[in-house]
Amino acid sequence: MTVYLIRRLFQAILVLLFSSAVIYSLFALAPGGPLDELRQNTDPKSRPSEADIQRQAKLLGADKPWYLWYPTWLAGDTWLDKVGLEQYVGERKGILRWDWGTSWKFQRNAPVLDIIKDKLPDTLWLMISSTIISLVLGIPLGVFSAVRQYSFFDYILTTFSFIGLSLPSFWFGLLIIAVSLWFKRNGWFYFPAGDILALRNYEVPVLGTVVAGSFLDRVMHLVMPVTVLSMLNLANWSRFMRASMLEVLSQDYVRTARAKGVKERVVIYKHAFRNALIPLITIIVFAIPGVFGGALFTETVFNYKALGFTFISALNLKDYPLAMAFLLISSILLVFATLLADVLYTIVDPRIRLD
Amino acid sequence: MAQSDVLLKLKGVKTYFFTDEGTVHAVDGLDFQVRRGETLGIVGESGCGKSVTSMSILRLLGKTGKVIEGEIMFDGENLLDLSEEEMRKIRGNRISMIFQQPTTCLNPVFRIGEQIIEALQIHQGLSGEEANKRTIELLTLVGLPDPVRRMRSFPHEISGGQAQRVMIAMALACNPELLIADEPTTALDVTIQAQILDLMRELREKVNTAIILITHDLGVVAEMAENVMVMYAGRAVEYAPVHALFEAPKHPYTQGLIASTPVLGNVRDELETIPGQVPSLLNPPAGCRFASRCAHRMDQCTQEEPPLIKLEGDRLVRCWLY
Repeated sequence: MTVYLIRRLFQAILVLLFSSAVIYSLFALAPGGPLDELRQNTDPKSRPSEADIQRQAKLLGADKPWYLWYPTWLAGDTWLDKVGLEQYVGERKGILRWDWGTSWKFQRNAPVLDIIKDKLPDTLWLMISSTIISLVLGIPLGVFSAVRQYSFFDYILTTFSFIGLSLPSFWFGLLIIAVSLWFKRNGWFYFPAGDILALRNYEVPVLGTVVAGSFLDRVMHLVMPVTVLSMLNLANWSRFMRASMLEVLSQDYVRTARAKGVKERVVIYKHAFRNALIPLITIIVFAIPGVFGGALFTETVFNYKALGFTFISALNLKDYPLAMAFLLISSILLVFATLLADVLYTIVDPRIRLD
Repeated sequence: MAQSDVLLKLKGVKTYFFTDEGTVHAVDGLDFQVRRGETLGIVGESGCGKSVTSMSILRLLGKTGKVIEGEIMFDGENLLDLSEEEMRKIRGNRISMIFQQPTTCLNPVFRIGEQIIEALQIHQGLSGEEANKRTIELLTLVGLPDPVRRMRSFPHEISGGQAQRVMIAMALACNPELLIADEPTTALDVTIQAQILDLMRELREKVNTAIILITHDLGVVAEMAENVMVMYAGRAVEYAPVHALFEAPKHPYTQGLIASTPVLGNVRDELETIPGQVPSLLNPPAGCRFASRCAHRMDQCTQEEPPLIKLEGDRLVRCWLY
C-alpha cells in the first residue's frame, strides 16, 4: 500500500507537469495577448506609445518570446543569464519555488494566491452547500425510487430528473430570478436576485429587516444559486443511485438475504445499499475539484462573484498567471481525488486491493 | 402414512408472472408432497417451473410473480395465508434454501462469519461469543478447513465448492425441517460436485432434514433422491420412486430425458434427443403439453389434457397411454 502510494505520488507529479505544460502552450497558441488592448486604443490622446507598451510588457514579463513563458512560470526568470538570455532576467521565482505570480489584469499586481484566497470562502459556501444538499437528497431519492421501481413515485422522480438534466443552468437561473422578482413586486416573500451579500439592509416579508452582511443575508443570497446547482446534481446523482441500486437488488446475494429471513428493510439498507454505494464513490470524490472550481454559469447568472466568475474573467482578460493558478489547483485536486477514490475503493470493497 | 408425517403438501398451485408480453403460466397446477426426512428430486429442463416452484414455497417471487391459486401446506399451515412477517420467520429457519451459483450468492462486502451469524441472530437471537461458537461448529460440520480463520474471509477469497459449503452451513444454521436445494452442484467442477453431494447425504443422516433437490441432472437425482417428480412446461408429468423411474420410465418425456443422458463406456455417434421445443408458457397449448414433441401422439392428446393417472407402486403419470 505504501509503495503503491509513493508510486502514485510520482505519477501525479508527472501528470501535473505535463498538464500544466499543455495548458500553458494552449494559452500561448491562442490568438491575442495581454497587451492587445493597449494597442487597440485608437484615441490619439490616450494612445500609449510603443515604448509605453514595451515597458508594460517588461513589467508583466510578457516581453519574453513565447517559449520562455512556461519555463518562467514554472521555474522563474532569475537564472536566465546562466543560459545566455541576460536581457530577460527578472525577479520571478516560479511556481516550483512557490511564487504563484501576480495578476496581469484582473486585479493588476495583486498576488494570484491572495485573489484566490479572497474568493475561496464564497465559493465554498456555494459549492459545499449545494453538494451536500444534492447528496443528502439524491442518494435516498435514488434508493427509494429503485425499491419502488415503476411506482408513481418512481415515475415522478424519473421525470423530474430528466427535466433537471435537460434544463440549462443559465435558463433555469433566469427563470427563478424572474419568479423571485415577480414575488417581490407583489409584496410577497422573495429571495434577492443577485450578489453575494447586500450592501444595505433590506426588508423581506415574514422575516422583517435583513441586516446586510449577516448570516441570514448570506443564506438569502445563497438560496437561488444553490437551488439551480442542486437541481442539476440532484437529478444526476439520484438517477445514478437508482441505477446502481436496481442492479444490486437483482443480485443473487440479495435473494440469499431474503431467503435467510432478513427483514426487507435490512435487506435494502444493509445488504443492497452497502454494495450500491461502491460505484457512487467515483461521483462523490470527483465532486471535490468542482467544489473549488465553482460554478461558471450559475455564478455569472446570479452575479455571484466567486472563483468560477474569477476564472472566466481571467480567461477573457488573458490574465495568464491567474488562469494558470486556477487550472493548476484544479488539476492538483483532480489528481488527488483520483487517488482518494482508489484508496476509498479498497476500504469499501474488500475485493479491491492496491499493490 | 400418518397425516403428521407429511411436511409439505402442494395442492393445485398455479404461479403466474404478469409481464408486458402477457401472463406466463410458469407453474400451472402442481400437486406433490414431501414427507419429513424425505428427499424429493424435481427434474426438468430449463424453464419448466422447477425454480419457480421453490420460490413459490418461500414466497420470494418478486413483484411480477404471484401464486394465484392453490395451497402450500407446510406442517399443517398454509404458507400462502401467512403474513409477510410470519413468512419471514419461516425463511432460513424452518425452510432454507441453497442456490446454483454459490459465489454470487454470498454478499461480497461482508465476511463469511458475519453472514452466517446474521441467520443465527435473526432466528435464534444468538450473538457474540455464542454465535461465533455455533458458526465454527457449522463450518466444521460442512467440512470447511480451518473454520476459525475462514470465518474472517470474504467470499471472493474462497473457491466455488467452499462457497457452497458456506451456503449449506448458513442454510443449516437453524436446523431447518426443509432444505430446498436449487441446482446445488450445477456451477461446480465435477469432483467438487461429488463432494457436495456426499456432504448433503451425510448431513441428511445427521440432521434429518427433508430435501427438495431441484436439478436437470438425472445423475444427481439417482444418487440423492428417494422419489422423483418430472416437470414439463409448468406441470408434473411423472412421479415415481427413483429406482422405478430409472428402470421403467412411463411418460414419453421421461423416456426421452433418460435416453438423452450419455452412458459411460457406451460410445455412440450421437446422443438421443427429443425433437422440437418446449411450448411457450405465455400461451400454453390445449391438450397434453408434450404432444407436439411426442412420438406416441394420438388424436386425444391434442384435444384434452390427460389427468395424473395412478399406476402400481405409488407412481403417477400424466399420459393417455396408460
